Amino acid sequence: MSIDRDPLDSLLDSISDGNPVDWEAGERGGTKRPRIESLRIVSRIADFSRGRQRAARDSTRGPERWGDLLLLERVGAGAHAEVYRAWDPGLQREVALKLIRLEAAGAALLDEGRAIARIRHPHVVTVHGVDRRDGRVGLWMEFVRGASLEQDVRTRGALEPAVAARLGVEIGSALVAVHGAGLIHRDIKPANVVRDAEGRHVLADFGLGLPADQAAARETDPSGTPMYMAPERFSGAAASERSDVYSLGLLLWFALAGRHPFEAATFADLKAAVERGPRPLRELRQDIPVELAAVIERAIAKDPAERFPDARAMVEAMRRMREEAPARRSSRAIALAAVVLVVLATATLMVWRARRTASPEVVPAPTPAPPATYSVEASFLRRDEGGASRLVNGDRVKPGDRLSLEVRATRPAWVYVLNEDEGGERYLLYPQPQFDTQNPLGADSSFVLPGPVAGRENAWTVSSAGGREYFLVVASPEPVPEIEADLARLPAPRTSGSAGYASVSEATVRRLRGVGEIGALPEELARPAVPRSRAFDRFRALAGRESEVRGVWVRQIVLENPRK
Amino acid sequence: MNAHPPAGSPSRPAASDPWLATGELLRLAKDGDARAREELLTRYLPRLQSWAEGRLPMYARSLLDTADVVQDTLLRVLEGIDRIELRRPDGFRAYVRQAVLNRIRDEVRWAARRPGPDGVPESLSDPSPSPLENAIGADLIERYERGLARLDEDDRQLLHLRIELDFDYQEIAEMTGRNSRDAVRMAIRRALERLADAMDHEGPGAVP
Repeated sequence: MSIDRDPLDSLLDSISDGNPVDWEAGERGGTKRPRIESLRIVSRIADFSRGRQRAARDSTRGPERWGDLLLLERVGAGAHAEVYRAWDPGLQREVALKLIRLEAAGAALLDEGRAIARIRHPHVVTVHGVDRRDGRVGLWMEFVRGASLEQDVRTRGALEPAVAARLGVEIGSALVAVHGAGLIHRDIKPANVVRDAEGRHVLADFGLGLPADQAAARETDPSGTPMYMAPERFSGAAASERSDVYSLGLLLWFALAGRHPFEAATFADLKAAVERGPRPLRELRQDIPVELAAVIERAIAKDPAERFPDARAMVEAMRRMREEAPARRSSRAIALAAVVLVVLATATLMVWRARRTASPEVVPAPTPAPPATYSVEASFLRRDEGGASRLVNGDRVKPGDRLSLEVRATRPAWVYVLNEDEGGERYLLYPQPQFDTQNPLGADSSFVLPGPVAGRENAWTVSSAGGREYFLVVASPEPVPEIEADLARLPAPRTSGSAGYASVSEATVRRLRGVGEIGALPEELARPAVPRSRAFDRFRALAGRESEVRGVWVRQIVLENPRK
Repeated sequence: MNAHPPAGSPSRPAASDPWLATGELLRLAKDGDARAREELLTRYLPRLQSWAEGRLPMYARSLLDTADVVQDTLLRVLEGIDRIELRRPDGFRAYVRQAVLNRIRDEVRWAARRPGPDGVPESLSDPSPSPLENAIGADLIERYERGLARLDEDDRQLLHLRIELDFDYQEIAEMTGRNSRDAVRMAIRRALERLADAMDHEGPGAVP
């Protein structure tokens, strides 16, 4: 039911808002003909002027700058927003900038952007910041190079079940992080998931994320993308964690079926098709494991109460399923038999302590412009007798596991490895003065860090269960002054005697942290704590996934290290 | 992690802050702040140029560079800014509109009088209308302009910003120092109604 309005007001608002004007309704409502004629003239002048203004704006690649960001290329545009590839001189890297017209955005958008910027997850696009400039709200984030799931499936066909299961775990865990930040995504769909150069899936758009309490207030607003919108939302129910779970389930259906789940020409047709539900997956493909199909069927149950209660429960179900089928994962194992591990008595390397509460800031540009493009690859290896297996984001580690990092860059690079456990303790794992391998690492060769000490091969050892381990790998064509300054404050290496564990007991250190012990390091080389540093927060704000960058390259890798 | 200073910072306003209201920028510019003048220029110039191009006859456009005309006019306005007595600080926009229109008329008259290569005034051989006149019709534009002229500066400015330059409500709120986009939308609705009133009085063929 609509509120009766003065028909003249409706005409005036339509002209002012730039919407189609219902002149007949104006006349029927009693607006006099001369008045209608005058307003028609104004409306035509408005249409003409706006058309020219917008054409002028569209004919260029948009404004050359937005705030400090230099716009390089428009890579996408919708009704309310445009996306640019841009250069951020502060971060010294390319970013994706989503510019949203204020009229489309509403006041909540800045709050939304800030909430999104607090999310740090390997499968959620890293948002560097949000601001209002030049009449638009802009959200700038890491530039993820790759194809959307939609493009990927269209061009390469349906995913293999094992790949789809991994996609489910990756995007499901991304959704857990989104919900944990108090947001409902509302727009999970194949076009919003991007596969990067290394095959990882990233949730890459937040157009409609709303804080959960505001979602309830807008419960009749069906602004989600209808094809992937949960059935209850068609009848006005609020978006919820369970409606996001449904959308994720339907996204997996798409990935496995190789086509969208419904065909409908009108909104009414779509609503009816959603009500009927998509075809059972195993009717389409016999090679989909029953367990995987069952997880998806449950996620897309028509009744929200029959779905997984939240994304975490869905992820757990998929993880269990994958662990029960380990054969599918064995192809990741990479033999590195030539590496001989010598693990001596462990000593604690406790270098970096800082509080988790330190607020992230932007790092001053550590490299002068114009930086050349280069590419970096980095991945963790779990070392065991006779070989090594490559770890990917979200893999589990446990006390006793020995880890190395394999790094390769196309130009000489200064590499730094930082670690933070779930308790907020931070450490600099590389470089250390006693390591044989020192910065800069040479171009186009693979380096396995930490590398040897006095000719003996080393690895970082997981010393206790820490819940979750965050690693930051930083590479730069120049030394990073901030980290180098902290390194310079370290006491000189000691060649004899015991350095102890700074001001905390070994028991406390073991309880607080997971990774941090270095195999093969004599105890006398153990480092005391250094002054607090905010480098971890600062660099985490930059963590991206692209393999090719200018300036500083940062990758965040998260390994699960659950407490028993 | 914000790379830019937040809008509305409580510190002393800097002229380069694009979210200073026009009135504040004008005050800084009047005090001789070069960055405020520059900001006024960058804020308005692109849209004013698009707007002016729609109002310049085709033959004049071939003789004049519209971008130069607009930029030059805006610079002159800014140079003389300390002499402008504005009833309201946000009257600047309406003043600029009139200045650019006057300048276009002057330039067009000058271009029309200037003989072509064979000594024949070009206006005789090529009386082409402006794109706007082409699209709407010169008589209707005249009626619109006369209606606008009867409005106060505030209404004229709001309609110019919204109808002709396509700024959004939030931008206009910030430029004119209003509280909210809703307040701007309401003010524009009233201005439109007054414009329609004024145009009704003009009527087709009415004498100004």
